[in-house]
Amino acid sequence: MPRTYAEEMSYIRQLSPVSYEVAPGFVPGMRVPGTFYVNDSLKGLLFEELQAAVQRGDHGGFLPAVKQLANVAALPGIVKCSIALPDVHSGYGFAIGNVAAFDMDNPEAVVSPGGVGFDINCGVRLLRTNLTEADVAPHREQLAQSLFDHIPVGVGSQGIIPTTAKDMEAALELGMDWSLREGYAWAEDKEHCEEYGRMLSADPRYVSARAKKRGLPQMGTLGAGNHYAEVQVVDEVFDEVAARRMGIDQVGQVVVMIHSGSRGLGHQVATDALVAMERAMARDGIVTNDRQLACARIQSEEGQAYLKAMACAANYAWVNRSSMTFLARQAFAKVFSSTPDDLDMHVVYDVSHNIAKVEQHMVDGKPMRLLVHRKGSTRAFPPHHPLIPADYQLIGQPVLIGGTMGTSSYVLTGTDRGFAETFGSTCHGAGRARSRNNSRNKLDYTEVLDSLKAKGISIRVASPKLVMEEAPESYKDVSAVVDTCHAAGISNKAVKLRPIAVIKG
Amino acid sequence: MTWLGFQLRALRYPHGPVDVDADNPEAARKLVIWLENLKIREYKIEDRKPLADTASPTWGAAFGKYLSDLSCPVPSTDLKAAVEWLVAFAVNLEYEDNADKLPPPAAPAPAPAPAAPPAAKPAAPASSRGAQAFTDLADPATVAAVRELIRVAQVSEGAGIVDELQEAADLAVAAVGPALAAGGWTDGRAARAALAHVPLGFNVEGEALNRAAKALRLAYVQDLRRLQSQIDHALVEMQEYTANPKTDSSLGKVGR
Repeated sequence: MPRTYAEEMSYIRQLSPVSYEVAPGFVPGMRVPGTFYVNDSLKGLLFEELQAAVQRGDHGGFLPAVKQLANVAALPGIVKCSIALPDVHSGYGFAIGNVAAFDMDNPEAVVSPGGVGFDINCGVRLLRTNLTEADVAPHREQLAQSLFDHIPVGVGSQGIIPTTAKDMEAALELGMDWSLREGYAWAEDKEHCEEYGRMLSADPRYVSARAKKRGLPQMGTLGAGNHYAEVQVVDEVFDEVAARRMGIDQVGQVVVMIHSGSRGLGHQVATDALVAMERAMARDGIVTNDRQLACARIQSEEGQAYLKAMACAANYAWVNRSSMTFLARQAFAKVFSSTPDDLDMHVVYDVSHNIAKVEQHMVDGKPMRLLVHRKGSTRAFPPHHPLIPADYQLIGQPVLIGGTMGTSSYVLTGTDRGFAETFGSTCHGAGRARSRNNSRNKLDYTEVLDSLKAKGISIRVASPKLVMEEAPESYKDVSAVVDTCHAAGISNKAVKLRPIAVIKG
Repeated sequence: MTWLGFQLRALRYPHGPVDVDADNPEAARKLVIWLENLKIREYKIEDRKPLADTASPTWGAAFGKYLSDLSCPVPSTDLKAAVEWLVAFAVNLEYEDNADKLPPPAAPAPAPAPAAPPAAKPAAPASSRGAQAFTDLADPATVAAVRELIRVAQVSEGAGIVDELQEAADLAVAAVGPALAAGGWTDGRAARAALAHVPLGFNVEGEALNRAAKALRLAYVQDLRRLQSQIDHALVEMQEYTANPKTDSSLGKVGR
C-alpha cells in the first residue's frame, strides 16, 4: 500500500530555517538519517518533486532527490548521515548534490561509482588577472573569439596539444605533475589545486583500453553540456580579507573561470565499474534499494580497481584543466600583447565536484578514516586544515561556485562548522530545476542567446541548439543556493563574480 | 632609544649614545667639542683649543663662555640640560643647511631625520626637555599643539582627542614606517590588533595563551610558505630541463 504525501512528509522534520532531517523508515533499511539544506525559496522544488512522485506511484520517471538521499542512507558502512546540499537534484543512483561518507575500517562499507558521477573530477578552476573590466571592454568580442579559437569545445571536439598514448599513460598517473613536467603549468598552479592536482592512488593499468581511446583525442578540450570557460569580473566583495588573500579584491577585476571534467575517459571508467560492480554485488550479497546504486566493498577487488581508475580519471581532469589554463593564458597574452606573467594570471584555486576521497573526520567525538563521496558537491575545508595550501591557511579553502550561463558565480571559503556538519562540503553550483528534455521543449535557443547579448555578455557556442538545456531558466537560482550555505554556516561568501564573455560547447 | 640618542644618531655622531653625567663629564665634553668642530663651528679653529682640551680644569669656564656666545638660555652648571640644548641646536643648524635636500617624510629617508617625531615638534622649540615635552596634559598649550597635530594629520574629528591622536599616530606610522630601517619600529600594538582577527582553529584557555598560540600558528604558516616556495623553485629548475610545451592548431576540432 503506497504512502500518501502526508505520510511521506511525517518522516521529514525541520531542524533550522535552512535544514531538514529525513528520519529512518522513509525508505527501507536506512542505517542513518538523511539531512538536507534548503531555504524557503528552494524547498518548494524538492517537496513538489516528492509530491509528484507520490501521485505518479511506482510508474517510471526519476526517483525524487529526497528518496535518492534516503536510499544512499541505506548503503552498508555509511556513517553519521546522508547529506544533500541546496543545489540537489535527481541523478544516477545518488542525487547530484549528495555527500555520503563510508567507514574505511568497516569491512562491509562500500564505494559506489554513482556517488561520484560519470564526469569524474568535474570541477572549476579560477584564474585571476590584473586587468579591469574597462581594460577588457574594447576587446571583449576579440577575447571571446580568441578563447574560442584556443580552447576546443563541443561534442566531438579535439585538443590542440599534441598527445601520444605514452603521454596519456603518464598523465593518468602523474596528474598535474605531467603538465608541470611538460611545461603546460606553472609551479604555483599546483599548490593552489585540490590534492595538489594529483591523486597518488592512480594506477593506469586499471583504466580500460576503451576509456583511454576515448580520452586521448579529448585532452585539453572543454567538452559540452554544462561545461564552459567564462571571462568574469569581480562584482561584489563580501569578505575583504579572504578576497585580498586570493588576489581578487578589486571590484571590476577580470578573472577567468574554467568548468570542465574528465570527458569521455571519466564516463567510460564509471561505466566499466558499474558493470563490474553488479557482479560483485551478487557475489557479496549486497542489497540496495535502487539498482542504480551499484557498489562494491571498498576492500574488494572491484572496489579497489574502481578507486584506482577513478584516481586516473581525476588526474586526467586536472591535466585537462591545466591544458586549458595554458591555452587561456595564451589567448589573453595574444589579445593584450603581453605575457601571462605580466597579466598576473595565477590560479586562485581548483576544486573538484565529483570525486571520492579518503579523509580523516571526527564522528561523534572519534577520529575516523572515511571514504567521502562528493557528487555535485565541493570540498570546503576550514582554516588551518593541513590539506589546504599555505596561502589559504588563515581564510579556509576557497570554494568556487560556477553559476549557469549568464548568471553570477561565487567564491566561498570553508568553515569549521561545515567541517563538523557536512564532512567539510558545500554546494557546487546552481543545480538543475528542469530536466534537459524539459528545457529543450520549453525554451527557444535564439531567445536564450538574445537575452545574453542584451545583458552585454559575449558568447561563443559550438552547438547553439543545445544552449537551451543550459539556459539560466533550466537551473535553480545560484544566489539562493549560496545564501543557504552561508546561512547554514557550512561555507562563507567571499566574492561574487559576473560573466562578460562565455565559451560553451 | 632616548631622545638625545635619537638626535645624535640623526647627526651621525660616531661614538654612539652619550650618558651625560656631571660627576664624570669626559664623554659629554668630547661630544661638545665634536659638535663645535663639525656642526656648530661658532669659533675659528684656533679659538677652539680651550674647549678641545677636555681634561683641563678650565674647561668649565670655557664652556660657560661658549654657551653665552651662543646665547644659550641654559646655565653651564646644568651640564645635562646644556648638552641637550647644544645637540638640539646642532640638529637645527643641520636641518637649516640641508632642508631643501631632504626627502619628504614619507619617502625612504636616511638617518638624518631632524624633523622626525612630529609629536614633539609643536611643544619643542623653547623646551630643552625633548621627548618629555608633554608633562602636563591639561596645559592648554599642549592641548592646542595636539589639536594642531590632529588637524595636520587630517584625521576626522569627533571621536575624542585620545582616539583621534591614536589615529594620527597610526597614520604617521603608516607614512613614516616604511622609511625606517628594519626593526626601527617596535610598537607591537598594530601586530596585536591584527592578531585578534586571526582564527586560531582550536580553543585554548586565556587571552595570553590564545595570543601565543596564534603567534605560533602564524610562524608555522610562514615556515610552510617558505617551504612551498622552495618546492616551487625546485620545480621551476626542473622545468628548465623537461618543459617543452607545444600546440598544433591543425589538430584542433571544434565539436557540434
